[in-house]
Amino acid sequence: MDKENYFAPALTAADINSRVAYSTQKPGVKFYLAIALFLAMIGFGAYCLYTQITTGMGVAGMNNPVAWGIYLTNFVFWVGIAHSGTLISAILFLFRSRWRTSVNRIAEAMTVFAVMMAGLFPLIHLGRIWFCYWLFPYPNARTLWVNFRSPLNWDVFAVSTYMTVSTLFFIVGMIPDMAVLRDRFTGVKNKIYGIFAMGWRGTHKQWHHYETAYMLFAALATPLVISVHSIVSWDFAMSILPGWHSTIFAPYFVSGAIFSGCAMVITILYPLRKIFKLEDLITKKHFTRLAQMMLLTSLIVSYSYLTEFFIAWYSNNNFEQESFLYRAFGYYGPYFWIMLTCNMFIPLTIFFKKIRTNVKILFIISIFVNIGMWMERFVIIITSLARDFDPYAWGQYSPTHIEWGIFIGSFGGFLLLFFSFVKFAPVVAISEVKGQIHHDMHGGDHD
Amino acid sequence: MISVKNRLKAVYNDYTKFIKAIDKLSGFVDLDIEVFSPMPLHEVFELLPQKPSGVRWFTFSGAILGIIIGFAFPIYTVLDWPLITGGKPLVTVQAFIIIAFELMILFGAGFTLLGLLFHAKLPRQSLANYDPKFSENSFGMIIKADDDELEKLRPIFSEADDVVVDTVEVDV
Repeated sequence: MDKENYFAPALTAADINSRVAYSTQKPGVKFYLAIALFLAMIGFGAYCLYTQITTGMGVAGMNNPVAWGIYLTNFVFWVGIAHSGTLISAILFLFRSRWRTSVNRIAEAMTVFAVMMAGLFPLIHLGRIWFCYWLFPYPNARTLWVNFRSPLNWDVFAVSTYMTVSTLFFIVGMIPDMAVLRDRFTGVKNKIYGIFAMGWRGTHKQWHHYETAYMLFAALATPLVISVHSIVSWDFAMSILPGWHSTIFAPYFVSGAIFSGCAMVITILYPLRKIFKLEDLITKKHFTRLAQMMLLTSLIVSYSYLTEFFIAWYSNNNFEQESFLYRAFGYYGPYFWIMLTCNMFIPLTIFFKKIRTNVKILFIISIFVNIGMWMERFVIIITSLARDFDPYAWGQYSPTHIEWGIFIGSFGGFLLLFFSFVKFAPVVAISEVKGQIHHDMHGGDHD
Repeated sequence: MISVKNRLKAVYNDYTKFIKAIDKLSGFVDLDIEVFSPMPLHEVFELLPQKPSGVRWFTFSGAILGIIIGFAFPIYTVLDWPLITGGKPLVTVQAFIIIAFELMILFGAGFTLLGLLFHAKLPRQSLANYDPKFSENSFGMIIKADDDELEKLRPIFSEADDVVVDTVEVDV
């Protein structure tokens, strides 16, 4: 059992309330400048989307044979980012990992906002975004139903379930903390937080039902998180394309998702704890634990990369071998080597204690991993489509400024949602941190 | 029938004194007590044992409903418009397992929320007798008792930081 103290010494329950409430105070000029920047990014993305809608899909670089471009790269990227939230809040909860309490709220928020961004991309990719409801089965005049045997339809169910369940988990987890903020403030703030607290009073009966519900949410979210990225991987693996048609895709994608998600948590936590003075609650030890998760998943991802190449060689299948040689040494080779450097080699430095206990270096590594994981999705999707079985149908793809613009817009949207959340809601799970500190002081049977 | 009872509210800033009081109170059978704390306290759950939460049954019912819908709906749709592709059977259970699995989780989670709201009596508007200190660093309890019972209980609260007694109408 992990007995380490993850918080600054002599931290009291009242300190926790005031530390967390600090982020909800009136923001300064820098905050508004950041919001303006995110709005500008969203504006640029919206302009690009408007251009695509009014001009036609031709403004995006997708064409035969590469009909899936960076829109779907972004989709897989954002779904992957979302995974660490559920990992930290649900899986680590079931494993009774004590370090999760300070970072789970931020990771859950990241999950919800990243899934929102992910959900946009298949719709943008399909073109006529106003017909997005066609993806769902509903009685219609043509008496047609969606194809339930298609992995793309599984995706609709998986991603919408994931968004709903992670949002419920996120909101339910916040009820006691909203009550803390309700009790701390008066006037309008008291009323607003009061609505979200739903009249929570913290009685032993409420806590009893709340703990059961939270455990059940975690138990439901754990298989869900594994299923979602497995299903995303089957969008590719169920086809017969060289480089895609592989049975290792599900575990490979799930570990990659957790890898990129942990990296994004570090990327976001580093500035956040400084800006909102949360150093006592989110300590170096939390970063070290996240880095260890990152290292573990990096090793799994690296093993998958090597396995793919081994299978291509061992299968003696010309198409498979050509596909992987093209990945490494073809037109998209630089993307492949950037991917390998960022995801396979750079994270190995975490083996050194000096590196994994240095928050600044971990922040830099996390940025490399974010870039590397985006590249991974690009390499998987684009290279296999660019070179399939028939040399006559080979072709190349380059994203246009419209596609890049929409990607930038999605980052703006994600960051705007995240910053708004930080300004309004408790960024740390107050009752969970208090429970852990209480347990450290008084003992008990929490474990 | 409405009857008038005494309501005693005790607030503790010290956890040890608080849990000592709960320990003494746990000896009284059928005590109408509500305990307040800023975090879940497993010591309290042990001293004032609760039945396993009914939220579990909500989750279970939701999950079963999700599985049924997850199989029934795709099967209905393929039979409603029979379109054979690749010579494969219309009812492809393997593919529908995924839909059933996702809907099991979706309905299970939705029903868990309903279960929590139902059992924790949320949302509620009244915060009468609640003390905002309960969400910060204090612990407390509210006991409803008649005059004789209250006299027996009074000494237990000698170490409390604040004790308030008033009367309240209760349904008997």
